[in-house]
Amino acid sequence: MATLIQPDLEFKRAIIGLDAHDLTACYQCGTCSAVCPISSADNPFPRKEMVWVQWGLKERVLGNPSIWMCHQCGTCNTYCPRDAKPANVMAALRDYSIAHYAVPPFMGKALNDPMYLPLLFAVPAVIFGAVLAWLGNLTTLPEGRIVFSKFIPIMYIEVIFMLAIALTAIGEVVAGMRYWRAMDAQAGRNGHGPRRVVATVLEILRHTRFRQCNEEPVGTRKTYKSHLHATHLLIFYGFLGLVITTTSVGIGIYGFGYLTPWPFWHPVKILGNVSGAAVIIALCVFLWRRIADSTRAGKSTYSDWLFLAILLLTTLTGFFCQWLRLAGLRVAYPMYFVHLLLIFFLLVYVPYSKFAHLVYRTVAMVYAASAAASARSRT
Amino acid sequence: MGKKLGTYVCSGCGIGGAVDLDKLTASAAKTGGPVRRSTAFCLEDAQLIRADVEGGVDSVVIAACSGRVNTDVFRFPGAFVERVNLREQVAWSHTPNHEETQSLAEDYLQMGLVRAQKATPPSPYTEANERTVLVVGGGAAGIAAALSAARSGAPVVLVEKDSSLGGYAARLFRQYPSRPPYAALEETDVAARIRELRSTPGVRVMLHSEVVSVSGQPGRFTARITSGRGETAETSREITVGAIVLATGWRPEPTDKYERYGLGRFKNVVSSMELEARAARGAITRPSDGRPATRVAFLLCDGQGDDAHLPYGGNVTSLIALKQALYVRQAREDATAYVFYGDMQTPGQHEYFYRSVQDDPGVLFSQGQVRAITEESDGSLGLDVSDTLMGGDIRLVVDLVVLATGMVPSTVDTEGALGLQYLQGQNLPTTKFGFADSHFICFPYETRRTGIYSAGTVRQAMDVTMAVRDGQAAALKAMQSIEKSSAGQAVHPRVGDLSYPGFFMQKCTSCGRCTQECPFGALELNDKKNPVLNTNRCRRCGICMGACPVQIISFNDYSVDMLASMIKAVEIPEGNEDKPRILVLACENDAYPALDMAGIQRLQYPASVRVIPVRCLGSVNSILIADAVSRGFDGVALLGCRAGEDYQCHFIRGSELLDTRMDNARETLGRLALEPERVQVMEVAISEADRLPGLLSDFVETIKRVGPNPMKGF
Amino acid sequence: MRDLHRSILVIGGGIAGVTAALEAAEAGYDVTIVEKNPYLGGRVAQLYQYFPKLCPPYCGLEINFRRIKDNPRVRFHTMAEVERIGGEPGSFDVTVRLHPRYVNDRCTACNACVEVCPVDRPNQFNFGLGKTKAIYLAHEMAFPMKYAIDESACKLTECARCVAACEYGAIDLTMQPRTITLQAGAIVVATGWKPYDAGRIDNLGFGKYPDVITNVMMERLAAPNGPTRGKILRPSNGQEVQTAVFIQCAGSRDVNHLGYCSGICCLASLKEATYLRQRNPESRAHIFYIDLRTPGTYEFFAQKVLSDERITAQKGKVARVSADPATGKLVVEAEDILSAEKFALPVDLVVLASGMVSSLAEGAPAGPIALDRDGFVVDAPTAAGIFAAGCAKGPFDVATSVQDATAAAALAIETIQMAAVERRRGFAGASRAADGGHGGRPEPPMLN
Repeated sequence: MATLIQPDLEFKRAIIGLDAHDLTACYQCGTCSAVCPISSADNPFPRKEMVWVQWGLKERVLGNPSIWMCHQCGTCNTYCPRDAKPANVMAALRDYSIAHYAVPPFMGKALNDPMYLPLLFAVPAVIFGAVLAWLGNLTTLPEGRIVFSKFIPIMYIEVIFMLAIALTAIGEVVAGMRYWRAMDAQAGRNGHGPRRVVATVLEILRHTRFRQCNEEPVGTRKTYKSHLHATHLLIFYGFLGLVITTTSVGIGIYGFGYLTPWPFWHPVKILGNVSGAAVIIALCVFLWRRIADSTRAGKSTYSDWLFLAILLLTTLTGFFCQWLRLAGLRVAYPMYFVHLLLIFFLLVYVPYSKFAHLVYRTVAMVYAASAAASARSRT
Repeated sequence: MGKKLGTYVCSGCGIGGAVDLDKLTASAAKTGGPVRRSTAFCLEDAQLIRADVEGGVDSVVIAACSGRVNTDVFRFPGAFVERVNLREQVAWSHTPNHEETQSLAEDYLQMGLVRAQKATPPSPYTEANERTVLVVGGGAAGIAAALSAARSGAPVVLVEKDSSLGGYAARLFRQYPSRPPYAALEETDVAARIRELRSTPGVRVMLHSEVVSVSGQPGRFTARITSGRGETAETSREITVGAIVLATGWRPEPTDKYERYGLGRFKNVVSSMELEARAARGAITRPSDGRPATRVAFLLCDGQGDDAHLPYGGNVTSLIALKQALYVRQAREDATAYVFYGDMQTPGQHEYFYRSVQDDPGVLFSQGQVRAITEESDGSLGLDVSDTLMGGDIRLVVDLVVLATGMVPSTVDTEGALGLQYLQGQNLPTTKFGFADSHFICFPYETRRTGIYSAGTVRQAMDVTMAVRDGQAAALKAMQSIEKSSAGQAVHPRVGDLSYPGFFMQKCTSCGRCTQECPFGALELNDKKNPVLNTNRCRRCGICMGACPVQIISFNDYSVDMLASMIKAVEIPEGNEDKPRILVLACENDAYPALDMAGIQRLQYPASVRVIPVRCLGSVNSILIADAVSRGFDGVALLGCRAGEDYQCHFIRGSELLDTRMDNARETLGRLALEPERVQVMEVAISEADRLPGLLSDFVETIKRVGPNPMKGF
Repeated sequence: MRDLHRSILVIGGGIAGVTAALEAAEAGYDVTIVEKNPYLGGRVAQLYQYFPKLCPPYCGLEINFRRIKDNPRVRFHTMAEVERIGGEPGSFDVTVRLHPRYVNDRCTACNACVEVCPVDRPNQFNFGLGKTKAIYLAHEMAFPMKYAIDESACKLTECARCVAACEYGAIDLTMQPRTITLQAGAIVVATGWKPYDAGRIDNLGFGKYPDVITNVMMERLAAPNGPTRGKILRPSNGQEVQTAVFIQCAGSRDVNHLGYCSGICCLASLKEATYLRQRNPESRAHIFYIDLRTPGTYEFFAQKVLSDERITAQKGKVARVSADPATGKLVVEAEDILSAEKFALPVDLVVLASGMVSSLAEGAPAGPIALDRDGFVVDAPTAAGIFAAGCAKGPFDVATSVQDATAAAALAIETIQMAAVERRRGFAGASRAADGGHGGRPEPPMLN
């Protein structure tokens, strides 16, 4: 049954605009799919994604797990005989689909356009500013030993973040479901539920696919991101560590009235510091690779840089706050303020940017796994 | 005939060690002429031969290496040179100092002496030496041919049936890039070439004219040309020319072949030529309503298995579609071009052009087979395409569909004919594709009508750039043929051969077989139904010799008598089961060199064979085979090349005609109550030396099984 | 004022060069061929068969060599290279370096030298498959049929056993390189091509696995005068090949290697598939391509070959070749484009359709020859009177090279004739008015 296609060249041009201008050169030899260490035999990518974009088949390419299955190792870029840079196209498609599925939609737009950056910072600045003004700490910083809760009580922060995160989380969940439905629609299999979720989550925790990116090199030529597995592992667990730290702190305070600051030797404290360090190291590697190996690195868009910058600054300011506090310098308070803004940015906005891969890639992997599983059970 | 023979027996390269040369030379003594020996006649001792020639020796028999080597060393002006191959085909391929090897050497020497005795110096035919080149067709190829011939010093007559020069080339809006970086479309330079032609002296252009008949031969063709149809009164005149370039070009494949693609059925389906015209007019619109065509699909219909695929155009249609996709894009910013191909055919540097067209996001490519095409109410067209790269089948709606229609050579029928007044018909013999028949790999310009050379799209589908080169090349071939004819020399493949067949007319039965079998239509019948040779059409293959049932056709240096005498010269041992004698008639172009190769590889085969090189197996007369058998040869093997569609015969039909010859031969064997196995045809390519020992020993075994020829001694 | 020359210089003695030389000579012009190899015939001499007729190249070469032997107007230098081209149309001076052959014209090709030679060398004619002695005849059909010594292998005067063995004083181990100057009215550049270095294609295993060979090596394997006497055997273990994979565009159409399409490889692989099938009725051949390029009437050849159900052609470029230690087989990986599925296929032999590279890519003779970025010759106003033919211009099949070479010969002759006209025009100022400024028609060429 022939399906009517209506090429959407605006979409094609949009993808080209996301630093994938070489995609027109593809002549469909399939080298990219063949060299891809993680694309499967029955659903190889990115060759078909290339032609779909060339023909502006927007719905088909966006409602497709492959764009998130790709882990951007860049092997296809190295061996593409037309230098069409399939990895860039996949990355561009991911950026595009984050904005495409974002709830509310304008958030996706805001995060992909530097123009909105001041506005994005203004929001938390106003909120926290208001709180400080109400506490009277906006103009005069607290005297004596430096305790951040004197500046702004943890409670207030918690409440603000909880609300914000809740909103964001809802948005993310809805977006994830839209993506799921889109994939179902393209596969022509409406309303089939997720399967093999646990297995997939374990796979994510183990970083199995990242490892595959390094196994069995295609030839002797060096492909980008052989470091990917280690670095992503580091940042992934570093981040997890920070999340655990924050949560434990919350529990400590509200569960046991065990108020901050906690002593330096406290295990949670140590976990926090180690994780923070891990994140910083990983981020530095990422930054360094992007700069040092820009040729094979593939595209680095605004949202890439934004994500890396925010993550780095958040962690750094976190450390600065701690050091300044220990040093007894009152400039620790404004630093803490900046740190809060960044955390807000990280928790509320970034999910509409790079961070969204947490949701989409998981959804894609679960979808692919369940599709495969149901295919197996059918036969 | 007072022939003075000199015999020169070489002992070098192992010959001395394999053959008793004293016995050998003894057998040459009775010639009366000098008999000399050397360890290397190819070196200083060549001087001995030269001295004898100056001393009056007119026939030199050199028993040494194969005639394929040292050709220049053993060239003695004024003397007939016969080479007896004692090295490659005796010393190097048979047991040294064996009595069979010895008798082989002696027989070869005798055969060589006989041949030298019988050969008479040819008297070249030099009466036809008109130097004018006639070019038929004023398209890209024709113009180039005329220009090139004129610039090289030949008078030229260019005949064009239209009212202006340029042909299809002049109707192209642009042509795809021919030079680095292979990105920008180019203007055709036809106009400039026409101006150049007009300003070149020695060129006579006849517009509105057609060649209605051609008779004669290279060096003196008579062409009848009629001019001025319609408005001006028709005039007809005859001109004499030396050679002809046929460049009558192509015409589009008939519309009905593309009916399934909607051509002729739907207004908005057009041919690529039609789009050229629209592009030239500046706006690419829909024929149905004149509205701009913003969605244009190009169908190459060249996929395998596609019943309308293009035998004639496949090598240019992809490039034309790419070029025209750019027309569409350059006409309107909002236009989209879709190109559906079976396989994108952009060989060589054309790949760069494909790549550069891909830079335009408005040109979309996919492999695909168009299964159905339907017309919507508003005139738009719906395409159903399967096997696409997107996966599965797709349906696409477009404003305009452009079909890459094929280029049919005008030589497929009488349209491109010269009205040849040849017994064998007025057209050039063509391949199954309608292109002039030739060895299109090695010798693409050699047609089967000597002195007439095809150029441009009558030779194969090609673009303007290639057609120009083709015209220049064909012009050279034409001048070459004039050059040779005027000197009485043969053209390809026996270039420079001065001999040509003579007919002993008293015995001619007027059966006309020679006129039918000549692959080049060299022979005509006169009103008395007697064959008449057009010497300069003749390629000297001797196929007429093989055809003649009464053997009245011979060359001065290659005659019925000569071959028969060479056969007689072979000593046939009687009453000896282990000494069969096999006559091997080997094509001198492939089989004979292969036998040399066997020797060079020191491959051994039975010394019972007696090899006679022939100009072509087609020149072997069945009577000759019968003679050999009745003379007592136990078997006859004919070694030649492959016949059929992929024939290799340099005279096109030689190996093919052999079948008819063989029927006669077997029939003769039947009459003599002899076994049919005694005569065999062996197909062996020049590169198959390794197969020869097997083939020949098997044949000898067969003959031994069948038993000796009972005719021995009669 | 420079003297005008009526002779033509042809650089390269392959099928294009030989054709250009003969076509010009038979039109009445003197021609000199300068050839790098010890023999004429170039690349086609190494082929087993031509497509689409599946006929032996030597069938045509034999005729051409006979035309050369019989025509005193054609001269040639083997083991010679053009160093510099000077002068102008009608009057070129060309410096040619003659490399020592160490065997002179007295060689009778009796082979006595080979029997005593103690040194082996890789057989270059067979692309390194098999060996010859340091003194060798390139192949049985070599023209001229004269031996040559590989100076990189031979111990020369230290050994000299061949000198003692040669009865004809044909070997001179003290031979030195010479430089000569040739004069010509026009030049044809027919320098031809060489196979792309498949070792550079790091993902296809050439040089790593012995059973990965190139298409030109396949020609030698199939040739009766090749290293295996025409048998198609796995180089690794000498076993008969059951399954072979032909990888198209091994280097061609690839910005990492050659940007252009080599034009002939698809047809060559189809042809080579028949070599395998013809020798082993059980065998299978798979051809993996991007586009199966069989332009024009060649499509019918493709259809004929593919009508054998044991020869398949599939769209999808092989991107990886690896070895399976368990079976000793090679494994090729690709995506089958139309079914959009990845597969890994175990095979005995992998034939890389490695592309054609211009022989001038790594340096051309000094002088006005214009090259494009790939080293192919392009037309340039600065190179008037110099005409490229055949694969010096681009990757062509044999038929096109022959056509192109014939045209090049025609242009060379035009150049010579027009130079003469210009010259006469220069002298005869008076005649200018008379004939309307054309300076008269060029003279017809001299008769043979």
